[in-house]
Amino acid sequence: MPTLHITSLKVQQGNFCLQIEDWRANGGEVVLLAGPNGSGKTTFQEAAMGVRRGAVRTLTWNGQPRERLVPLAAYVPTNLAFFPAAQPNQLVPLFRTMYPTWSEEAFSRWASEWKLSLRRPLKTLSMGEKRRFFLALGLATRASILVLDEPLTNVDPEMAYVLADDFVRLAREEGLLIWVSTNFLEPFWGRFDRADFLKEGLLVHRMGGEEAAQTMPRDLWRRIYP
Amino acid sequence: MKPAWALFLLNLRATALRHVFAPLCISLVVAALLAYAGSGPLEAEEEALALALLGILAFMQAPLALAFSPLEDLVLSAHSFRRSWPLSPRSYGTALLLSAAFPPIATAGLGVAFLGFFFHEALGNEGVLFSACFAFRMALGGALFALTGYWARMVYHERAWVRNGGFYIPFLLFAGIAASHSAAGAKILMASFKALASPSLGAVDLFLGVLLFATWVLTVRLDKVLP
Repeated sequence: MPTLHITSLKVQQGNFCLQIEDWRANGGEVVLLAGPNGSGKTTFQEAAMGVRRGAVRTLTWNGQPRERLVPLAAYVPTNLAFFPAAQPNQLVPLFRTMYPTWSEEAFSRWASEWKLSLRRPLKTLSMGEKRRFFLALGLATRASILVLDEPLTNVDPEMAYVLADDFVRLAREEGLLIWVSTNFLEPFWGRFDRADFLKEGLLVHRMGGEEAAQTMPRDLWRRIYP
Repeated sequence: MKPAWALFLLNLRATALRHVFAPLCISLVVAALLAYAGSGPLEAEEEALALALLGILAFMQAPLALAFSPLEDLVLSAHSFRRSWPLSPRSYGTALLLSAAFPPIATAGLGVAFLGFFFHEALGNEGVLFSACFAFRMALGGALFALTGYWARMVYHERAWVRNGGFYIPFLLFAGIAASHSAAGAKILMASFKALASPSLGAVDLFLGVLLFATWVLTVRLDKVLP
């Protein structure tokens, strides 16, 4: 499986400094990124994607150096500022032009499985519905890496478990690297390959799936962030 | 289809109400006001030409005033696309330019067709040609205005007067109508109209064209330095 390898990542913004010396993840894995608000989760993912200004880092995918991760990776951000008056099915043609690997069949499948409303303006959709729509767009790109920023936020608990199941299945069956920034760890519990914990811009703990099986998310949280 | 066109069409579809119906309604109201304004201190032919040009201006002002709001959606959305999805600065700048230029160009066409029909009797083909030249330059200027409006929004987005700046244009139009009814104002207005409506005024077109191109280039660059 190909490996995403990031070294010497640094983002300096005022008093805040994000520094990641060595980070790697493989295709077929589900890797979580957790940490308190403001610890640098979004900054880390944006810097890795190459869309954060002022970020310095070295990045390779499958041994090949890369400046930006798009369109190899699809990034579904937490801030979804898209045409509020547009209907989801009007946005699809735009995404089709951006990704040569775009799959109409995949989009239709996810739209159907996640019960998306494609003919209502985005401004009338709930936050959870919008989130599911943008996740479906991300999956339909058929990118090798999915970088998801808070994908379970605003989604109802039942759907959160459905989404987590789907992400894990995509990683295992199709070999995608799923990199999820979230503090809602329970839906992934016992099934992720690694969880990285950030604090004030530094990676303070890395935990494998086996270690996670021996503890509960709340205890873990208290241990890492006393 | 290229991403820039897809983004432009998406913006057009998503904001069709503001792009087409609202400007049209406002234009019709202003055109009715113009008709009500009646005759000023000009010769009959000049009066007809002034009314024709003011009519086009009336058609133009609404999309200029409203160009801000469709652009707001595009600016916000395109920034999201730029940050998260593979949309190049060039595609983004081109979509912005197309979206900024479309309302003034479309309504300039409407203005020429509508007013040219009514004023053909009074002015003949020359009047229609004048109207077309004037509308063309207004469209270029309108696109420029909308693009610089986008800059203003990005840099001074917290200022209400910048957000609502487009809505001051109708007041300028009414000031123009009032000026056309005073002898001195009429002369100044006529001189400006004639200059802008002259088919041989290539320097203005060149100037506006170069300015528009420079704005497009800077828009693409500006996106890299803005947060």
